[in-house]
Amino acid sequence: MRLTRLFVPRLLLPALIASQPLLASANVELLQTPALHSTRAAQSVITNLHPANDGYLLTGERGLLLQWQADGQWQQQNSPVSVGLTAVTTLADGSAVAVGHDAAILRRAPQGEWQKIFDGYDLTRLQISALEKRRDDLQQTIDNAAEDADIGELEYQLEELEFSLEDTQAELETGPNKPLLDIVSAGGKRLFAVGAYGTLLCSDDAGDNWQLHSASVDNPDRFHLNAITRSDDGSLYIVGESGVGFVSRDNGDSWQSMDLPYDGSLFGITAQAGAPNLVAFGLQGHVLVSSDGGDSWQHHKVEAGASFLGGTIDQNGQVVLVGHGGIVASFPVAQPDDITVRKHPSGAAFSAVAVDGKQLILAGQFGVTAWDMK
Amino acid sequence: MTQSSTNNTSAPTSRIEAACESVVFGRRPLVLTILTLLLLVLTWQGLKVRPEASFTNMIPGNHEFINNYMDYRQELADLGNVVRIVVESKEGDIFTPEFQEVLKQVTDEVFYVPGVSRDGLKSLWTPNVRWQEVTEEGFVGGAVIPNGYDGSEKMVARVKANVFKSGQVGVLVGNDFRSAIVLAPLQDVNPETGKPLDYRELSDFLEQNVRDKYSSDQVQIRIVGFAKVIGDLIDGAVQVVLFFVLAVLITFALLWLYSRCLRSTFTVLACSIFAVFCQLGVLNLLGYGINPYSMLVPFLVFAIGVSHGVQIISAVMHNSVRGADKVAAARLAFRSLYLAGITALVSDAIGFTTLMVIDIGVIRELAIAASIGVAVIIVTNLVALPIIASYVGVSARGLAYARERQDQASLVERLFARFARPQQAKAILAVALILCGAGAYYAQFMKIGDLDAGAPELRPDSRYNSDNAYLVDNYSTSTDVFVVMAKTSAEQCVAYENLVWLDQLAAHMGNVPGVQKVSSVADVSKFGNFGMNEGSLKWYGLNRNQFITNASVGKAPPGLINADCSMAPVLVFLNDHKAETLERVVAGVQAFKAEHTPDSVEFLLAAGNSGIEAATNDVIEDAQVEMLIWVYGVVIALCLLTFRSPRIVLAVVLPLMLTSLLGQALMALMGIGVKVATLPVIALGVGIGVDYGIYIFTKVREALADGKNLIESYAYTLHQTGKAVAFTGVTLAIGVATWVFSPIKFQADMGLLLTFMFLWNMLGALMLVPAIAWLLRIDNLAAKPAAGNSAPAEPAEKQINAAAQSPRATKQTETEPA
Repeated sequence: MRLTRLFVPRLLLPALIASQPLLASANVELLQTPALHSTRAAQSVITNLHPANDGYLLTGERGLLLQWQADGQWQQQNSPVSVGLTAVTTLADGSAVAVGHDAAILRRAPQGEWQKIFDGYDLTRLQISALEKRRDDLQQTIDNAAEDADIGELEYQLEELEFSLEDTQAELETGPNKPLLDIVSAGGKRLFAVGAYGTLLCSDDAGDNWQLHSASVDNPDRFHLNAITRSDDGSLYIVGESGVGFVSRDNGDSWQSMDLPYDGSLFGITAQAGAPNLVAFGLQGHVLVSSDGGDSWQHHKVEAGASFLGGTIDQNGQVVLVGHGGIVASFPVAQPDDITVRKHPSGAAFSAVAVDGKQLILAGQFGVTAWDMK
Repeated sequence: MTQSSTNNTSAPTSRIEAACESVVFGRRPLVLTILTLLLLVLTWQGLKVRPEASFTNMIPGNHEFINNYMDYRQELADLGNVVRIVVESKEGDIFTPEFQEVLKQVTDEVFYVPGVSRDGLKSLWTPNVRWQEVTEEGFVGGAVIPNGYDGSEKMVARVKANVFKSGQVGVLVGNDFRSAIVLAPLQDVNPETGKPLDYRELSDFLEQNVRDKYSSDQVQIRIVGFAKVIGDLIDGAVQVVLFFVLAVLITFALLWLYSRCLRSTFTVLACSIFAVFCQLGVLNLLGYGINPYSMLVPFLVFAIGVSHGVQIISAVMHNSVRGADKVAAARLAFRSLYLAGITALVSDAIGFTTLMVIDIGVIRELAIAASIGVAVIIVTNLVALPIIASYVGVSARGLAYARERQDQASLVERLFARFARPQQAKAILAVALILCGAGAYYAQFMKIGDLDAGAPELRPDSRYNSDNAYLVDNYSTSTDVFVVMAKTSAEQCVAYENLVWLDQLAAHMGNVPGVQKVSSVADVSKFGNFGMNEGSLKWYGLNRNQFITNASVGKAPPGLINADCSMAPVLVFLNDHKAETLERVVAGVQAFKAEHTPDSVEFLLAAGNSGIEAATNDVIEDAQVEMLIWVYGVVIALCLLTFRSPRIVLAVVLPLMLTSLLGQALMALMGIGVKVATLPVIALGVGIGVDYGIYIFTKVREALADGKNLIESYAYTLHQTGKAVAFTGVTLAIGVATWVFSPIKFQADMGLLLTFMFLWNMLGALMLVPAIAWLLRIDNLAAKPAAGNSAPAEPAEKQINAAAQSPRATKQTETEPA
């Protein structure tokens, strides 16, 4: 009796401790799990498409990276992660960069294979150091404050910062959960990625190193930044949750808020090549059109009421927007009221669209498909 | 010894036989009264036997898959046991006030069907079917039928808009908007009676109160679901009673043609029909019902009864022709046949019993029912029939016909006697070799499992299957579902890491050819995250944050997680339920399990109709070989015991093997798979087929022992027994041939195969047995049986002697009264 009483706890304790890492190792870390090649990759959930190699580079669920040609031929590329990917862009040197869930960032060198260069753990560390810096700055401000200054508010902020810091540190343990939602190449080796809860990342070396720029946009409520795009004149535009919108005229060094005439969520923004026309779109068929590079915006609402998730403007200024319930809306950018609304028979939620000759390339819930414009 | 017994034939040869005979014939009125009472009681019981179709009996009860399924049966019930009532508009789409009114009425009607789980009932008209959309304010939604619906055009337009937002297109509304579904989950227990749900009652109720009531020029009703399959099966099985009547009529005609004696014909028919009722009575007393599979047994019992009855009646007529009075004729017939008859029936029974090795309830029930039936025949046709014959006798017309025929060579003799001659023997052996080659070639294409789409139990062109095809064509639902059960600890089934495993398995299974779609609660979570983030598709995916994940599965439909969240089924939707597809799916899951060993979740195979079919196929594939070994083992052992000559055993068994092989080739060519229904057929065919060989060789040996050569011996055999063998083959075949018209596909398959096997076994026995006997020089054995007879203690020898005595016994009686 006594022997067991003495021995059991001592024997069990190390065993219990030892079993913890074992448990973890038997689980899947999607950030470390190469994507499974699927015989039906082209019917997966597709989140984005980007023109590449006379076809399109597509991102989708379970780490999907797919080179798709308009004739329906496709090839799934080896992807080092199994988290959902949300957007992809290409750099001038031919390399490609993709972003996704858990803040994964992947890069493929020209003629190379995809490699993970960043993930949510890195982001969490960036956020921790940013928070620590803010905390230290704030602490200093409080310390240096004049004796009679009202520091109540500052101390409250400090407390909030401490909480945020604790939460963020805890995330190193539990793992990241915030997706990056879009990426844009800002010329040269500069890249910007936007994501959930106001995340804005910037790299000046084609993705080798990333800096947290979330604080450089005025987004105190940390609304999701849903999309980022770049116009021909080099301006950068961000739109997001609750009608937030930002513009940068200095290639991302500084950002100004845009005063948008709509306060619901915007899921995308697209710029016309060679013209100052912009279209932003979002919930419930709301469409914002600017013909002056984002200085002023007109609000329109498409009657069908379905949310728009993706859109493009072709060289002739024809806008095509796609979204929930298979909706495909098109109008000349100069005459937003001259709108044609059609529904794709699949009824899929479409996330992205491209105009390819007389066809529309539609990507979304049920995969990618070409659809005759007629 | 042979000589001495021949001289003694009018007296029974052993004490036991004498005892049997004196019991039966000593107190005929008493025996007959007791038997009559017994048979009446059993018949009365037999009339109470209930048609049934128990789901659990059709599946292999001890297979790993089934054990796993049974552990979660209650929880998976929501998922599987539903009835879908499709209300189809014949003109235009469903968005008219008239159509909606019908849909509403059907929904209300189904609500009150006993056994329908009312909470789970779904249609556009139930409040649990909602539309929702994401707006600036978050989710908004409501019932598809708006409050204050008044059938106005405006309201119908709103219904239409709501349907689009409800996500029910392809689920409750046809992809072409020409039909809508009322989906009714069923409870296992009828809450009003507390008894298990009576599928037949439910099926009838749906037919009368839904299909018949609401079908019109504008509206067509289609009903699909397991309960309906079972209902249709039982209805179809009941129709089979008509086939029984048909079989009886045809047999009546044949018997009359054979005997030209109405009395004998009626006696044989009555005894055989009695045998059927008694068999049913014993089944009912043992607590069994009759299912669509064991429904075959009464037909077999009837046919076997008739074939043995015919032997008795011909012996009685034969004896009467020789001048015996009624009692003496019947008594001699009894004496000459009961041992041979019992031997044949016991070997049938043992053949049926080998089916017990197969771990599937309905097959075991069939084996039990058939064995009981055969035991009953011993009483009705070997004991009761001669006693009745001793009272009834043979009609003058029958006697005259028999007298006229007795010295003529019958058609059977004229056709088949030649096959013992070297020339014809060589020819038929060559033909057999060619058939054997062809059979072996085609038999390799034989498939395991069911091959047709829809409910394989029913015919492809049945109403159920056309309803099912409509559903498959117009809705995004596959009816072939393979379910993997993901077992976790309690409350952990939607933990992020477990959802990741579910999703990984889904991705893996998506690559297996034949898989259409895989879905589980992981997809609900991914879709939920998409919905909760204002419908932004980029959020589609699992989220590591458990609070977010829990919220994302808040709207999980019932059945995708169990009550204490310790199990989540992964639904693998398949293109079809062919055995290859099922094997690939099973192999796919096994490969995933071999590659990954998650410690928080265990993937258990398998449920869903396809999972159960995979288990059944597995058992059947193993049982197929096992059963052949058993049935042939038993047959060979019985023949060895009877004949003590491996050569004779070869001559008896080789034709049976050819028949089995050709049967398999036929299955391959006709697209009939090896399944629960067709597996027993081979055993039945062999078990009954061996009788012919036994009958023939008993006579051949007798003649050989008399010093005749093979050709003479075979001619003698055919004269003695050829007609009876041919008649037996035809009767058996007719008994089951009517099944070909059964509305139930597997019954038709069974009927076709058994008819083929009975006829072919008969032909094989008549043509191949003498040819093989020639090939193996069996006439050299002539000296041996005499030597064998020097050891009279051997029971098998006794049987042969008894059989060998019979013809001589009848010859002797001819002289005795004279």
